[in-house]
Formats: sequence, C-alpha cells, structure tokens
Amino acid sequence: MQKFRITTRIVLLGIALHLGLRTFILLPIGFGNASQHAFALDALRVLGSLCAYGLALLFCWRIADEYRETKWMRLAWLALTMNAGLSLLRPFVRPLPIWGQAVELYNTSPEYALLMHCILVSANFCLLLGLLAIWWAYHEIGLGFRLGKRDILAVLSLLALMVAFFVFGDLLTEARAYYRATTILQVVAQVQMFLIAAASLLLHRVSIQMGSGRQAIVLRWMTIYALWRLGMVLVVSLAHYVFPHHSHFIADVAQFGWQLAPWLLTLAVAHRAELTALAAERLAHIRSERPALPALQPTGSGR
Amino acid sequence: MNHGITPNEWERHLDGALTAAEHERIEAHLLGCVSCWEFYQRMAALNAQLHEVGEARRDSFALSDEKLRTGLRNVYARIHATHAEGVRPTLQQRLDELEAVMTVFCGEQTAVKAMQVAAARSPAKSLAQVTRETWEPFLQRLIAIAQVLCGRTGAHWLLESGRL
Repeated sequence: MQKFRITTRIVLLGIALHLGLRTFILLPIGFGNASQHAFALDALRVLGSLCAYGLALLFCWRIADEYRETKWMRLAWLALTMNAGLSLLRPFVRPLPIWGQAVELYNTSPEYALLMHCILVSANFCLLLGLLAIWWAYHEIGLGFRLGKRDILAVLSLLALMVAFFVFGDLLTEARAYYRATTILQVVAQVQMFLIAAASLLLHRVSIQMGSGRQAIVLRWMTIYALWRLGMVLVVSLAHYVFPHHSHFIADVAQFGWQLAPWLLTLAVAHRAELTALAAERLAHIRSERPALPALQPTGSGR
Repeated sequence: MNHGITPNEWERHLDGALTAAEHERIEAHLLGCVSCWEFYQRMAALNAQLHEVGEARRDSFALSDEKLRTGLRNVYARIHATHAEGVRPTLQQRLDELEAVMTVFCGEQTAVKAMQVAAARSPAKSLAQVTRETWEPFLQRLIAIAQVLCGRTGAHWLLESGRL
C-alpha cells in the first residue's frame, strides 16, 4: 500500500488555500477594513501559520536525523528546527479573537510587541546559524564552493542597504516603542534579517554550482524565503513612511506577504524531504535485488 | 517517454526476464532519470497487483503437463544465460552509476567534482587510476562527501550503487 506523504504539491495546495481564503474574505469588504472580519481573518492567520511552521518543524526534525554523521549539517538542521519551533509561537503573540480576546488588528500593545520581538530575535538567530552552518558544511568538503567577486559585491550591497535603512531610523515601526528594549530588539532583528539575506546569497552561489541537482532547488527556496522576508520589511517600512495615512490598507496587503513567508520555508524543506523519500525508495529497490550492507560509520565533518 | 527503453524491455524488466547486461543498463538509467523511475514505480505497483490477483486465481486453473514443461525449460534457459554472461559489473559501469546517483542530488558538475576529490584523497590519487584494489577506500571517501551533500539515506543509496 502507498504510504501517505506530505509532498511539495500538498504544500503548494496549502498556500493556495490559505491565501485564496484570505482573498475571499477580504475582497467583499475591501482592503483596509479587515477589522470587520477580524475573527475569520485572525483564525486563518493562526491556522495557516500553525500548519506552515508545524510542517516545517516536522520536516526539519526528520532531516536533521538524516545528518547524524555530519556535525555541521546536523547543527544546521537542528537550528532550522529550532527556528520553526520558535516561529510556531509567533501567531499567538498578540490578542486572539479566536480565544475571545479583544483584537486590535492594526496596533500591538507594548507588552505583546516586546514578547514578539524576543521570539523573533531568537528565531532569527537560529535561522542565521542554520544557513551559515549549511554553507560552512559545503565549503568544508572542499568541492570548490567559493565566493566570487559578484557574491561579495552583492553581500556588500546588502550591508550598504542596511546602513541606509538605519540612517532613516523612523522607518522602524517600533522606533518610538513604549519599552526601550522593544526598539533595541527590533534593531537587532532587522540586522539579523540583513545577515540572513546575505547568508542566503552564499547558499544561492552553491545552488548555482549544483546546477540541475535537486539539492539546488532546496537552497534556492531558502534564498527566496530569506530575501522575501527582507524585501517585505523594506517595502512595508517604506510604504508606511511614504503613505502614513494608508496604514490599514498597507497592513492588509502586506499581510498576504507575511502569511506567505512561513510557507516558503515549508516549501524549501519539503523539497529536501522529498529528496530523502526518493533516495529511500531507490535504496529499497536496490536492496531488494542485492543483499544488505553494514551500516555507515560516522565520518565527522565529511572529510 | 522512451529514453532508449522499448516497451518490450520495460515489460521484460518488470518480469525480471532481461539479461544481466540489459538489466544493468536500465538500472543505471533509472538511477539518474526521475521520470523513468516514477514510471517504473507505477508499473511495478500495477505488476504487483496483477501478480496478487493472479495468485488468487491460479488455483482455480489446472496447468497441463506440456505447459509445465515449457515453463521449466524457460527457467533453465534463463539461469543458463545469466551464468554464461557473467554478472560482475565493470568499474566504469559502477562509476557511471555513482555519478548518476550524485547528479540527482547535486547536479552533474558537483557530482563529477565530488568523485574527483574522493579519488584524489584515496590511494588511487585520481579517478582514472581507480582499480578494484583501490575501489573500497575511494568509495569510503566518496560516501563521506555524500553524507554532507546527500544525507544519510542518499549516502546509503550511493554505497549500495557502488558495490562491486
């Protein structure tokens, strides 16, 4: 009997369903009026995030087990598991209409903002660690995964963009937060976002060298996930700055992007999980034709 | 979809009726071609179902002595053919299989590079000088690299594919 497996197709279906339902609820009332259907929209947000991060958590955990013999890759996937686990808490860090709490869709109370940024900074740290550990593991096996001038230029451009972003301090939504800690944590989170984007560019370089390999698809989706989040931060901050009187409209449109983000991570790790499933099928097929071999021995870092 | 495999060859592959050389060729192709592998999986599942139904129905039909003799003759002929051709794969066949497996994960360029690096780190020193004597250390070094590139299951797949 065929075993049920969560595939990339199912993840894509999840994305379509989540964003399709959101569009279906929002279109009749118009963008900027989401508070009219706060309960439905909030329930969808929470459920969508739970599904996306929950799946990512399960996939990452299983994939970490795939790298028991290689310390850097194992560290990387465990860090990504932690990132998904911490991110699972994010939908709950604000009042929830589905629990009967009074909701303010367009404002966050100071306590919730502080808690939210505590989780965000921790999750971002794990994500950054994961991406850098993957790159280091590939670099260490000595297959010539090196950075070119263009990569260094791209990373430097990102850092320049980061400096420019912070020169205009008012772009930060928590620039005048009630708690000073919230402002500091938001600055840290934004720095992390730029570093995550830079790390994802390193992985993109590896994916280019891997060409048509399926692992390259995983790395590309990770790059898209990292750049998407940074892009969202920049565009939304800029939009709020340029159009201060349309904040509700901007927030409603931006929510599509924010709610898509966790699914992009899920899609990346689902591609990796599919690769393991394919290898397992082929291995079972070969083993059915030949007698079994002894188990693999640990090899440290792959050298 | 053809990829150099005729419908007749597919059928005989599923029935296990190919010669060792034909079998090796198709298996080597299946390693690297995902569409053929998925096609093969579908066909194998269907074949298994047919066999299952066939098993259930078999008892209701009596086999004539003549059919029984013909069947036995075919079995003996197949055993003879396998022994006559010899089943030991060549090193080049195994190298091609290893490359095909790694290509699925990390693309052709990286697969070739990984094999070159593994050979350079083994007593063979280069891919061209890998022999049956230096095969094991070469394979072990390749597996170490594959554990990073392909994970544990992928490395196991590679190990089984590289077995002489």
